[in-house]
Amino acid sequence: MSIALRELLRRPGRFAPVVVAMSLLVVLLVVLGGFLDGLSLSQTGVVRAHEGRLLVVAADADLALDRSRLPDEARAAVAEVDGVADVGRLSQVTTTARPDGGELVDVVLVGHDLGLDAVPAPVGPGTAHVDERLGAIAGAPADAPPAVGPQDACCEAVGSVLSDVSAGAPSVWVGHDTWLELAASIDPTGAPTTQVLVVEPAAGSDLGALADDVRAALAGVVEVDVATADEVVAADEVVAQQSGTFQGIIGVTFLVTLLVVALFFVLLTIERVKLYAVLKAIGGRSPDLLAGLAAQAVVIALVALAAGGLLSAGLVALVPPDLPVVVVPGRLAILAGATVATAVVGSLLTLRRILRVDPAAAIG
Amino acid sequence: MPALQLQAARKEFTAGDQTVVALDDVDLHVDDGEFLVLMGPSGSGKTTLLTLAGALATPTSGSVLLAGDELSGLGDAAAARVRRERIGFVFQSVNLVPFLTARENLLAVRTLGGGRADRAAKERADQLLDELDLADRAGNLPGELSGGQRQRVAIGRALMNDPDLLLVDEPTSALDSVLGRQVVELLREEVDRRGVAAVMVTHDERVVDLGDRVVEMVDGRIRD
Repeated sequence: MSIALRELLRRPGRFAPVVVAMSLLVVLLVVLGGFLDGLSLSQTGVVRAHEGRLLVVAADADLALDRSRLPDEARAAVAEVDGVADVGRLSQVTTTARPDGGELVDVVLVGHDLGLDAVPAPVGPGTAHVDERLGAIAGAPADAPPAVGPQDACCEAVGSVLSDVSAGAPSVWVGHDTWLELAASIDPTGAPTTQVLVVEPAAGSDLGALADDVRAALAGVVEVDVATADEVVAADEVVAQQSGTFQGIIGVTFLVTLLVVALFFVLLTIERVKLYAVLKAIGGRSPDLLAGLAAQAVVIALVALAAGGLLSAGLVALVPPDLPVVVVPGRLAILAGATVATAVVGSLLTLRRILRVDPAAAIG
Repeated sequence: MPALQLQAARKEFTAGDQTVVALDDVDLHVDDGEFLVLMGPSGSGKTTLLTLAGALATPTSGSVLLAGDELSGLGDAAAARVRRERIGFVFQSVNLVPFLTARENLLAVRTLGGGRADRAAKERADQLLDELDLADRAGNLPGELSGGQRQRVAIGRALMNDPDLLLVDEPTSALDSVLGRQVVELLREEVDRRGVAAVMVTHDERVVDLGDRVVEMVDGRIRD
């Protein structure tokens, strides 16, 4: 075991301040990452539920589903295209729901035709699949009718859907014809119409070529964009702004982490000038000393990740269900790797001071 | 061939716009197995001579030869290798690594420079601790040892790499007269036993008789 690691074992108290500071920063990073992913996933759940399919959106909507309007004849035209196994309508509107015995809450009412992995096909008029969190958020029984819209008009809950197919608010999924009726009652002055078409490609279809064919088939009907779910998510301005904001905050947090680690190790180096001079005098090299500091930084980061991870898990468990915090393993892995790398870089900012340690200072 | 040879070794330092001559064209040689005592008032150049002999600094002019190998002009890495493999240091204030045990302080010499404390190194460390009557203190940290015991650990560390040259800086300064003499006697024994050349800087005239030769420095020169 190296000299540096023995110091960590024998003098843990010396490193406690930086471990505590880094643990708290890890908590901040995990929670920020959780909000970043939670907001992004909760905003885009309806779209992401259609991965593997093509979404046909009016060209003037810039891939914003709720701004898109398609004429009724578009569906039939798309259904004729070679390589299209099925085509359905998809529309959404933000409204309110008051589950029996509960409070008024915002919901997204989604109308669809095709079944999904995450949402079964509509059962029939007046029925809905309801976000699993809706009852908890409204303070109502989980199986209470959602009572959607200004007239509490809909619906009988026939099943639940996972909360990750929401779109900024809990979702209520109904058949598209039911959606058209409800949308008219929600906005009596409007004329609800299909927003988006969902294309189920035939097995083995090339999505790029199919998108071109769909676009061509609608050339005389309406100008459209045909995109995958990922492309629609990437074009979502709200999500992009939220992601940019959170990533900026996460970046600043990493900068603070870097400065905390660097400051700690610079102070430690100043305190140890005499010891480092002795180690150099008996044959140690600057790279040996730097490697020792880097090893200490790695261990400190790993301990902070473990402690911060546990604290974060407890904190996330306390977050109310209406706050969108989602801890994604991939995000955790990135944060962990970046935290270790930041700690190592911070420790290596002592380079100049280590190089300046004069071994001759050990004598006299 | 002398273990250590300085030929017209000169060391100048710049202080502001003045040049200070710390070592003024010094000629000196130390043979294998010779225990040289270097005395002189503060500022006479003893420490500077020790830093040149220990490859801790390079002379402004002249040469420093360790068993015939030129030390002046070595780069940092090469100088570190010489110090690690061929020179043993005993420092004035002991300067053990405070969070390593006595045994680990000896083994640290082997792990520096990317080396490993292999079985042979551990056996040598145990042997040295035994010779220095520290076998039962091998697992103690420096803070748990007496001043004399710490100085003996420092001697063991200096001998760990089986050096060509032992450089000792004021070994008695922190010890009482009895303990100080015991430590220098121990050094003398180790020099005799191993046939290693040693240079000891000291102000302590009570241990001068233990050296083979006494050299006095004044104003950066060796007094004839």
